[in-house]
Amino acid sequence: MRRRMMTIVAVAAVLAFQQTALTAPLPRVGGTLVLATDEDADRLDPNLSGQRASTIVYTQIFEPLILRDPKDKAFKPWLATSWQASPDGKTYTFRLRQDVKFHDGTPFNAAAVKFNFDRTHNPALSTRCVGCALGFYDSAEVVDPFTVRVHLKSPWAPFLDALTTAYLMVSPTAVAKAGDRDFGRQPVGSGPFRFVEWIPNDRIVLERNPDYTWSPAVFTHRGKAYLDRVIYKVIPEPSSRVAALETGEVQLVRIVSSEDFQRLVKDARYAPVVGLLPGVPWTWAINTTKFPTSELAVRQALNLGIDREIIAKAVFRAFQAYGAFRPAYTLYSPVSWAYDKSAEPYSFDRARASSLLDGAGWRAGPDGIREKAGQRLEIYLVSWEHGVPELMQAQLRRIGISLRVGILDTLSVNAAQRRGESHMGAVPASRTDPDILSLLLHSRNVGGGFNFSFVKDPELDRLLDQGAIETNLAQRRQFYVRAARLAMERAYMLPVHTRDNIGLASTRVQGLRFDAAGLFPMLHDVWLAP
Amino acid sequence: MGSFLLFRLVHGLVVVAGVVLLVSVMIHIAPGDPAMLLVGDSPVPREQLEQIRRDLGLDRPIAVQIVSNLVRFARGDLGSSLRTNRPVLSDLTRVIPSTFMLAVSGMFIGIAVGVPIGVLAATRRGEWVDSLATAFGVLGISLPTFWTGILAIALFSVQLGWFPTGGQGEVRMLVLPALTLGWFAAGALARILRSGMLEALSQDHINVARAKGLRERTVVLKHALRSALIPAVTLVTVQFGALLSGTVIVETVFARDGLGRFLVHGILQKDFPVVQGAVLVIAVIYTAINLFTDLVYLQLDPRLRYA
Amino acid sequence: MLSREAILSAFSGIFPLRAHKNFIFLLVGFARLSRRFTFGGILAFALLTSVVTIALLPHVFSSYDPIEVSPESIFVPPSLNHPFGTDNLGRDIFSRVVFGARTTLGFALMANAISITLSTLFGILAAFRGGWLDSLIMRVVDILLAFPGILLALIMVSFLGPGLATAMVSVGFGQTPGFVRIVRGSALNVRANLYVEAARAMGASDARILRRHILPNVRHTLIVLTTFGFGAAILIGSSLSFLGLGAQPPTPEWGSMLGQARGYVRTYWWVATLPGSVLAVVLLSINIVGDQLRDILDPRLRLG
Repeated sequence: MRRRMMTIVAVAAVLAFQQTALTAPLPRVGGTLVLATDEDADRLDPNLSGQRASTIVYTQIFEPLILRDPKDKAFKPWLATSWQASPDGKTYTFRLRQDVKFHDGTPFNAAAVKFNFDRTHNPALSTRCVGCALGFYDSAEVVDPFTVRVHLKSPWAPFLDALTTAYLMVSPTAVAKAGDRDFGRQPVGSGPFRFVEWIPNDRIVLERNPDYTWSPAVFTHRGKAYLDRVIYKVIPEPSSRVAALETGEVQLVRIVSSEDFQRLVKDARYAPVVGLLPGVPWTWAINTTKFPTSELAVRQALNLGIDREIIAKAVFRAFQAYGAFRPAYTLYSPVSWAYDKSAEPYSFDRARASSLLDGAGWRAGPDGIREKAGQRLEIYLVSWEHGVPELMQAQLRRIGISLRVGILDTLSVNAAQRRGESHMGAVPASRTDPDILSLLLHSRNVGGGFNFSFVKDPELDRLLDQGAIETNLAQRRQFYVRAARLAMERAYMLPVHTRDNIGLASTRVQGLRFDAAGLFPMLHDVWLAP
Repeated sequence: MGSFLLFRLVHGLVVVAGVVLLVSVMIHIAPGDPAMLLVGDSPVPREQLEQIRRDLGLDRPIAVQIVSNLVRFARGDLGSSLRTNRPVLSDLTRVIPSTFMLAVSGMFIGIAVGVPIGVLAATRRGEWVDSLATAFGVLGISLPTFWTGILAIALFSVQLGWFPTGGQGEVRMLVLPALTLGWFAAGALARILRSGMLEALSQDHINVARAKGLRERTVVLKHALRSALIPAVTLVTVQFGALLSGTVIVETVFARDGLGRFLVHGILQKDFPVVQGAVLVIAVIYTAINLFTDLVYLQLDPRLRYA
Repeated sequence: MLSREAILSAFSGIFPLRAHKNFIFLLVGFARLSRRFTFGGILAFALLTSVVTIALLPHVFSSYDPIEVSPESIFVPPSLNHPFGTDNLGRDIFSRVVFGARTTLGFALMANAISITLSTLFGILAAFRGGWLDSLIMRVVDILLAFPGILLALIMVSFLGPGLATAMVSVGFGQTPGFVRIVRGSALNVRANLYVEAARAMGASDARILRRHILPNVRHTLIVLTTFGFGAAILIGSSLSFLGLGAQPPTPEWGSMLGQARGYVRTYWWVATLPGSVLAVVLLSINIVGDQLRDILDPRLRLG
């Protein structure tokens, strides 16, 4: 009797154990995922376009030669099975997969790769690609049908990283058919999803590529994607995007306001979608050629006089619970491999800021704002977003700096900085490779480029140039650490908070992961629960 | 009538040409470098920007750019968007119907609601009906459209689920945006009509009509309304024109791909072909509406024929 | 004929007597006709007077500094301490509404002054003179009407810098063409009346016709336009505030407060709804009082 009891209990226990193991849901094949984005793509053409609105779509249609594994950040094969850099860093040889076909049936091979590189760097086409080897690319050579060699004019360290994001492979036959200017509207790649239709400013529809068998090892499953279709819907107004999520019209929303996020993340039907971004955080470029920010003491006082903790918490509190939008004290975000604490010379220190200003001859005027030789310490800041500027205004007033704020549209913000009308201005979002810093601070990017600090610092230039060609990772990192430290010590910029990628998704969406940059969702492994 | 039409047609051409010229000059004078926006949200090297500028002809002096753009335009070539490379003509054919539907339905609601309310307020001047109607009218014009739109979505889309949150292609997607626009239009119309009616009701020919023994309702509707409609009609046409390019807010909130958004994005990105093409369309439609209104004026008030 | 005489006549046509006498006349008129004020009218007038008082003496009516940020108390719902709650930066909304009254009303007044003055001038000129002048004015108006306002605003901001002053100019000029059309329509209506023809036949001068006949009858349209334009100016400023129009931070102004709060309508409703309601009530009062004013100044209504 007792024995029987024991057997029953044992069997029941085993069954119970199996049951829990089985309740982990299996991916369901089928369904349509609808994503809401804020802006329509410009051209679905990775050779010629670089706008984020386009990239989030075409990273499902086109594939790169290699990718960074989101988990360990190492380079892993994708369309290329192996690669080698020459010792002088000027030549890269790639061995390619032989089983890849473009959506139009034509084969992917070395000739196609050469075509892609040549097209991207064709001066007649004026590519807008972000992060490609402009100025460094020399030529590409077909060694054999599945081996291609890329020659650079001089070594360029960011090249491998650029391969993961800026060089996605398009079908040469399709380009020949559609023409260079029009290919972006009829994209043909080799990815897990292929293009169906694009109703401008409304939606872009992709469908599963039925012949897809060459998924990289980084993906969780081989073979075709789970989803039948993916639709990118353009909904410009943030509250309308969220409303569409709530009505079920969309299942994933890009770019949510802090307030909406806070409200919905508590709801069991929605889950946060967080990508922490490496690169340059939200930073003000400080005009070093315009009085009074031409004075080092003033720039340093700015860096010392704002309380980033309070600012970030006030504006982004809901996001901070997920590690996003934290205070930034240096020019690289904490998740960047070039980040180093030694490049953070300033903390929040009003006393030190005041004494610096005192030392530079700035005395408090009748209304509390400092003056020197009849000039008030007035600084004009331009941005396209409210929130942070007002908080800075209040904080800087306490150390006698009057901050005048202009909230304008993007083009006018750029124009104001370019024309030297402003002292501080917002700088657009950045990429992952630390070389981004040279776009913002290298002297060759002054006057017509994005160096709105108008910095011409030979020492900084040298560090950035060396970082750009150094292939040894540890040494390369050192150059950027030193560059960031130098730029911070000379207070060329004012970092405030990190910029991260926050969205919301319905809990029906399973298997969602971001690429190593934290920006683009990898939809191949995504499936929809009922 | 024939010479009148010809006259107005010539004037219309002058207006359209004038608008396109003025806008072309202004968009080039406006500050900003479109190349920086075309690369999107990430900095790129200066050499790349300069290559793009050269490609788009932005490195030439402004006067040269303006002239060359106008010449191209005058030849009938509307060009392609700097941002997407799509031909402006195809963009226009796509966005005009959407905006037109929105503007027409918004105007329709505005008239259907605003006219009765304005007449009611005028005929019952001083009573509580007047105050209520006035209040309704003023509420319509004192709430920003983006507000009304967002509230409409929150209530009718999310809470009640009656309508989608936006988009185009189906009639049910048009309801909320049209109501949002219509409320504003109704408010303005009600106000102007009330005022015009009051003025008309106290005129001599109204007393004559009354003396003739006509029923009050006929007096009101046939005679007073007719002359009150003149400023109202002007308002409608002014509003309609404004609606064509002013629908941007409603189009943004309800994710509709319309002329308003097309034009505004073009302006904010200094995408000249887009701006020129959009403004051309608006000017043409506008001139057509003006012509139509003036014809309506003549119908409404025969006295004007001899003015 | 834009002679000095004509202009003076125009002015006195709209306001029957000289300025100070005007004021006394209005007061006496109000007193005498106060019986003819509806209850709503009295209410509206009282409200407007309070709003103007508050606008002129903001410190008396608010307990907080409208620009002082308070990051520890953001999005506080309406309570005893903060009757309208606090906004995204912890600023007391009631104080911002109080201080914003002066900024907003001043801005709307100035923008309106520009648009009403210009539109009256050109609208009546066009209707009265007729002929080629009418054609010219109307063509220019048509061109300007088709011109996108946003472009105008952008240009203004690039030349004059962002802020409220630029907004006044932009919005004022932007509204003028539409108003010209409306004023002209109304003036045409009046001009076609028999008694104008009769007066002309009797040899009355242009100035006299302007003063005695046209302007008093166009007045009501102008009053409606002014009251309508007031609200429209604020709303246009509100929707264009992202372009650099409207008050720049930290100055409170109702239009830009509404514009910035649109993302909070479903989460922190008071940031948008309460200032919006104040705006709506003020505009309503302006319109009601405007209507009553028109009735007082309209001679025929007094008799009829």
